[in-house]
Amino acid sequence: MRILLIDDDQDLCQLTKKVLEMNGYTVDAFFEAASGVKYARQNRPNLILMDIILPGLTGPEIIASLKTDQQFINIPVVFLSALVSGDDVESEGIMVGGLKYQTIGKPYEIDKLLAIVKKYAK
Amino acid sequence: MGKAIHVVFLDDEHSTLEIIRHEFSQEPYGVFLTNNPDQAMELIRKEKIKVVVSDQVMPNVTGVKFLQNIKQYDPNIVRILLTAHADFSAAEEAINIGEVYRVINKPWKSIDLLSTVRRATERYDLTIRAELTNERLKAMYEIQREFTSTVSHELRTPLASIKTAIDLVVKKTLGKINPEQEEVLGRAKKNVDRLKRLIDDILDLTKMESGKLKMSFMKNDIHQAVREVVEAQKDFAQSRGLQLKMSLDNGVPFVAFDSDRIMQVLNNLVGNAIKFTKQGGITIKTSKKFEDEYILISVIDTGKGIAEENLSKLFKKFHQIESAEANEEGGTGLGLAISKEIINLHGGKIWAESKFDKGTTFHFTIPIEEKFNSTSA
Repeated sequence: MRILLIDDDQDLCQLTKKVLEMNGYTVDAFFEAASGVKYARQNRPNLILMDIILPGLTGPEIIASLKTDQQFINIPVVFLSALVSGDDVESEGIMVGGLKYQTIGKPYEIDKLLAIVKKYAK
Repeated sequence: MGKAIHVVFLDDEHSTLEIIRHEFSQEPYGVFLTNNPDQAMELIRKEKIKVVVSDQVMPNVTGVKFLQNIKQYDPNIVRILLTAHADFSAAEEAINIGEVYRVINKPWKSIDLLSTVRRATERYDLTIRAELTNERLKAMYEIQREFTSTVSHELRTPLASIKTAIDLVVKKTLGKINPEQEEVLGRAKKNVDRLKRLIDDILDLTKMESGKLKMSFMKNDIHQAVREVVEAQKDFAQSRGLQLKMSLDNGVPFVAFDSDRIMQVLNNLVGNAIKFTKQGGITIKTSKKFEDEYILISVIDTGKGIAEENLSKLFKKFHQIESAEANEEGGTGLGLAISKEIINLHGGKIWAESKFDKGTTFHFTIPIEEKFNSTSA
């Protein structure tokens, strides 16, 4: 199970990678979107887990452009963001192109993150 | 000359206007006198007019009608009607429909008209000042809200790394830790979580206070919310050896409320009750009150009670009763302030009653009448 993780907060990115790896996932982590997207085009991940506010394009903008590409349509996307509270996980979602994407608030509870990743990664 | 014109007089009789010119010659502001409503209106559009005084009986327009036009143009301009003695219907119409400030009978005493107009200009100044203050306050709230949401985001980002790092170790994901390490990190974790809740609560409260919180009101069963909260808090109560009971009145109708937010209030009240009760239990009771205008929800505990003088302070921000328990429990001091805002947004009330050593009851009401449609801010 491969997860593409994009977060410009390098500390949290490394820690999230560790959390996921310790729970059996293969994680490719990037601190900025361009190389993450380039990677995604070459290795279709099972899940994209990404921050919303990134330098350059925002997460939703990146997803909007990725989703025009046929091969990305079926890859699930989950956002990670300090814009929402970790407790709002269930109710908050980010709309991109008419679709609602699950959003995990930061700071997150490890168990909640794992539960959501498990639900979406296929 | 050179005085700014603040008052406009409209009267079709030249002699009346001359009297007024004479009476107002010593005032600190200028007056404009005319027998032509169009001319009066033109000046009102151009100058910063505070008060308009109009005669009732004129050839082309009645004073009431003219003042109504003024009200439509700028409701802040204070309007005064001059009527012939005993013209009650004009006076009635002016007050009830035109909402004029005063009706003055002709002939008037010079001092009466002077002091009335003077008070009218003061009233105008006050209204404008209040409006300005109001706008400034709104702008300040907006700045505060923006600041708070930016700061929250900036605080959550580093906190996320701290929390995940601590959680990874505490969960022993990275390997065993000894009991002493576990205890030390447990304390760090507790406080990181408290800081996280504090940021969430401050953001929540700021959104509510600036009217930016999106609420979704739906006609719903309050008992459903009560049951869910009891289910969620059951284990916590049991861990303290406390009973969590419901006393639900079947006559309580469905009312319009925001389910998530009301559950937040209930969770807060029940959570507090559990924290501050040593033995006995907590009961959530529902009933219909105040001539069927409200439903009443009460959270009753058998704790040690709260002193009378502290009851009103409970709902203030960052107010926690100073006690070892309060410190140990790690509350944010914002729960009740948030609950109060939520209940206010529902058009209800929240308050506490307590007897020392007998326990405390928190009550809140939600109006039965459907004041809110599906959604509103």
